[in-house]
Amino acid sequence: MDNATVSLSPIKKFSRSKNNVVIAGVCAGIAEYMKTEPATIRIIALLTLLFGGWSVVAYLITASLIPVDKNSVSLSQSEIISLRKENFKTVISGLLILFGFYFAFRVIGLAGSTRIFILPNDFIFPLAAFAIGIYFLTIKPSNTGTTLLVQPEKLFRSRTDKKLTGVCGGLAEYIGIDATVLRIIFILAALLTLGIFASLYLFLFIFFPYEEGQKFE
Amino acid sequence: MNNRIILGLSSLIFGILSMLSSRNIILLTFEDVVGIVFIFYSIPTVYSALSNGERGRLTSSTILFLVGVVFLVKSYFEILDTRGIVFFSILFISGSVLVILFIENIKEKIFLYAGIVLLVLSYLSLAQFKKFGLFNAANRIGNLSEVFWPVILIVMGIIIFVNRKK
Repeated sequence: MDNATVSLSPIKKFSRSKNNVVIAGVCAGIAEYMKTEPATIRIIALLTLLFGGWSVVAYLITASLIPVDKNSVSLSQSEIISLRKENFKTVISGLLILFGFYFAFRVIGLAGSTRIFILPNDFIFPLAAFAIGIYFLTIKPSNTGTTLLVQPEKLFRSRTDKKLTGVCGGLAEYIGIDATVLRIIFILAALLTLGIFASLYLFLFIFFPYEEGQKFE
Repeated sequence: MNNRIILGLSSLIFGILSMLSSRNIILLTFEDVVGIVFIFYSIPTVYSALSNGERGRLTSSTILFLVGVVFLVKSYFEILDTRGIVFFSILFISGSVLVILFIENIKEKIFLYAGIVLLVLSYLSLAQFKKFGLFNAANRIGNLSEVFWPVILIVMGIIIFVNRKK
């Protein structure tokens, strides 16, 4: 008899993610199974809404059938917080892309459906709003503790996050938002007001000093 | 009040109002409903963001409040030049945001000065700029952006997605 041992790799099981959860952890589970980024799967899942709302039904069925992965390692407090921030940005970006495509299709006359599933839109959207409202009112607050907001006391022009003079980088850091988004808002507002809004940029550029410390990049 | 509760109540109000208006029980347009929900969401959010020192939420909820007011004003008063109010609204909203940021941190007086300058410019844009034909040019840009704003949404989404790990 040949005693050669056959090494068997453990069977890859499809399960919902325990740590990386936005709604039920299905997308993160798929990403873990396919060894890819959960954010990519989430964006694709959101974009499937363009083809009707059936992907929501598929998601709910998957969430109810697939168990949660119990073997995954628990994350630390800071890891959970940074994961939540990343997931929040992923969802916001996904929604922006989804609505962008939806309205683009409407502009070119491709999306004309007044129904989702078999029900009219003006019935489905209020129903979805009810569901979201009840969800937010009934979920338990997370036990991740209170996060201390560390925001700068003083406003400076940024030396590190800088494209032109560092005004948007500094202002974004002060307010606590993404600098790129603030730059786009500045450009759009300047275009729509025929450059008058740009006077704010000049005003801030003249009166805000560079951040202290490092003198050269 | 917790942000979760404010969001939940706002969603419920949106659901109730849009359901009632779609059945013609109350006479509200979609813009009215959105305006009311924005105002309902933003007033308690501004209050809690001011007390917690959350500048991001403070800025976004101030903008939402004023956008809600613009929606309601546009709907209830017969404004013929609806494009013209975009010009005024951008200046007025950004000026108000700067004043709110000054209230949050009164050491930064530059916000107050810049805010007042923008508020004065917004008033002038209503009262004087029409004479110089600025609104016509703004309307032309408005026409262009009406066609291309889905592209702007997509680009903003992609930028946030790419920078999500920052």
